[in-house]
Amino acid sequence: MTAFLRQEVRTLLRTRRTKIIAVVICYALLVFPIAMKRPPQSMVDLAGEWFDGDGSFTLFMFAYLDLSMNKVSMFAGIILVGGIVADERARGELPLLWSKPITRSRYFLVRLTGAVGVFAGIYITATLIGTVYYPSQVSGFDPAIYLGMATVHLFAAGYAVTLAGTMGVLLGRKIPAMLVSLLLLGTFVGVAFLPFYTDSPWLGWLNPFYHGVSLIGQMTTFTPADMLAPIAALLAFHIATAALGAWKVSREEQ
Amino acid sequence: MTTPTAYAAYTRLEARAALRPHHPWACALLVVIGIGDGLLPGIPSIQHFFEAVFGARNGVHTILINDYTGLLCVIYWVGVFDLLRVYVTPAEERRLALYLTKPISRTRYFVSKLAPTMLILTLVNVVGMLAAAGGVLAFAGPADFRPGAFIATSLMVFALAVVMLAIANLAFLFVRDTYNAILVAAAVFIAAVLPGGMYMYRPDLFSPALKDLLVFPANLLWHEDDAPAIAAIGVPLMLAAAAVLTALAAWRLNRTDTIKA
Repeated sequence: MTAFLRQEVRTLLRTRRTKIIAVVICYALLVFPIAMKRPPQSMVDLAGEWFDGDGSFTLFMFAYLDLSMNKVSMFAGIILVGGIVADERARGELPLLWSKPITRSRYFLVRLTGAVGVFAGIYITATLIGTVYYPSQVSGFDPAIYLGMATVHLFAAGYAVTLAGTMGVLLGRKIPAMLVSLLLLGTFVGVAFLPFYTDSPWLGWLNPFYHGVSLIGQMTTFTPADMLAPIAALLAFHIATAALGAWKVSREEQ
Repeated sequence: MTTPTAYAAYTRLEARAALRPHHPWACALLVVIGIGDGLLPGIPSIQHFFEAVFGARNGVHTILINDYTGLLCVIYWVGVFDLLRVYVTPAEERRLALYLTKPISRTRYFVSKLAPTMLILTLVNVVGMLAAAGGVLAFAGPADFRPGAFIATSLMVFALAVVMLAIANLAFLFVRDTYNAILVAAAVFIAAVLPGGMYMYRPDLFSPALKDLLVFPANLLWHEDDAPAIAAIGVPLMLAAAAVLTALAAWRLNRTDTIKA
C-alpha cells in the first residue's frame, strides 16, 4: 500500500500541473510584499478594527491569507484531484481497475492522501520560504505568529483538495464535479471573513475556510494550544468529507 | 452523403446537449448571491469598507459591486466548463478524432457547440440580472437604483465575461487535458480580477486612467452617469473582439491534426 502511495506522490510531482501550482504559490509569495508595501491608511484601520493587532501586520496577514493562499489553494485542489475515478471511468478503465486486489475505497483514499500530501509539501515549502524572506520585507513581521497561522491555514487550504477529490466521486463526472467544487470553494473563501465583519462567529462554523483564518481574531495573543481547536475542527471536515467519498466509491457500479 | 437535414439533426442534438444540469444550479446560485448581497449594506463595517476603499456612494453601490463580481465569476466559470466540451474533453477522452471523421465540417462542429452555449449563458445572465435587481429593490429600495445604468453595466459585465471566455476558448486548443485547461482559464480570470484586488492595498499604483480602466467592477459604478454611453461603445467592441478570437479558434481547429492528437 505504501508503495502505491509513494508511486502516486511521485506521479503527481512529475506532472506539469503540480509544477505550475508550486511555481504560482512561490511567485505569489515572493511578489506579495510589493503589493503590500504602502497600504492605504483606511485599510490598515479597518484591519485593526475587524481583527486583532496593530493594523499593519494584521493587514498583511489578512491579505496573505485572503488574496493569496485561499484563492490559490481553491484552484490547486480541483486541478490536483478533480478526476480520481472519474478520469478512469471516462477512459473506460474502471473494470480493469476494480479487478485489481485493492478495495475501491482504499484506492480512492490512497490517491486522495497522495494529492493532499503533495499539496501540503508545496504549502509547507512556501511557508518556510516566507518565514525566511518576509522578516526583511514586511515591517512588524513576527515569524512565530506567521508560522502559527499558516499551520492552521494549511489544514483549510488542504481541504480544497479533499473536497475536490470527494466531489469527483460523488458526481461521477469530472466537468460538473470540478465546477461544483470551484463554486462551492469560491463561496467558502468568499465568506471566510464574514464572521469578523459581522461579529457573529456562528456564520463561520460550517465554513472550513473560516476555521483556517479564525486565529486572526486573536493574532497577538494566541498560544499553541489555541491552534488546536481550529485544527481539530478542520480535521473533522477532512475526515467526514473523505469518508463520504470512500463510502460513495465503495458503492460504485462497474 | 450528408444533406441539410442531417446537419439540422446534428445541430439540434448539440443544442439539446448544451443545456446541462449545472445551468439551473448556476441560476439558483445567482439568486442566492442576489439576496445575500442585498444584505451587505445592512452590516455597517462592510458598508464602511466599500465606501472607504471602492468609493461606493450608497448601499446600492455596495450591493452592485458584489453582484457584478458574482455575475462575472458565475458566467465565466460556468462558461469555461461548457467550453471544455468543445475540444479539451473530447481530445482527452479520445473521442475527438471520431467526431471529426464524420462528414461534418469542423467549423460546423465548432459553431454547433458554441452557439447554444452562448444562448444558455445569455439566459443565465438574464436570471443573474433579475436576481441582482430584485436584491437591490427588496433590500435597498428604489431611491438610489438607476435601472438604465444597471442594465448598461450588467451588459458590460456580460460582454467582459464573453471576451474572457473567447480568450480561454482559443487557448484551450493548445492544451491536451482538463487540468491544464483549468490552469489557463484561471490565469485569464486572475488577470481580469487581480487589478481590483490590488487596488484595495495599493491604490497609489493606479493612475486615474488606469484606475478607471482596470479596477473592475467598482470602475463601472464610478461612472454610472455615463454607463449607457460606455456600454453602447464597449459592449459591441468587446463582442466583436470575442467574435474575432472565436474565428481564430475555428481557424486553428481546422488546422489541428486531430488524428495524431
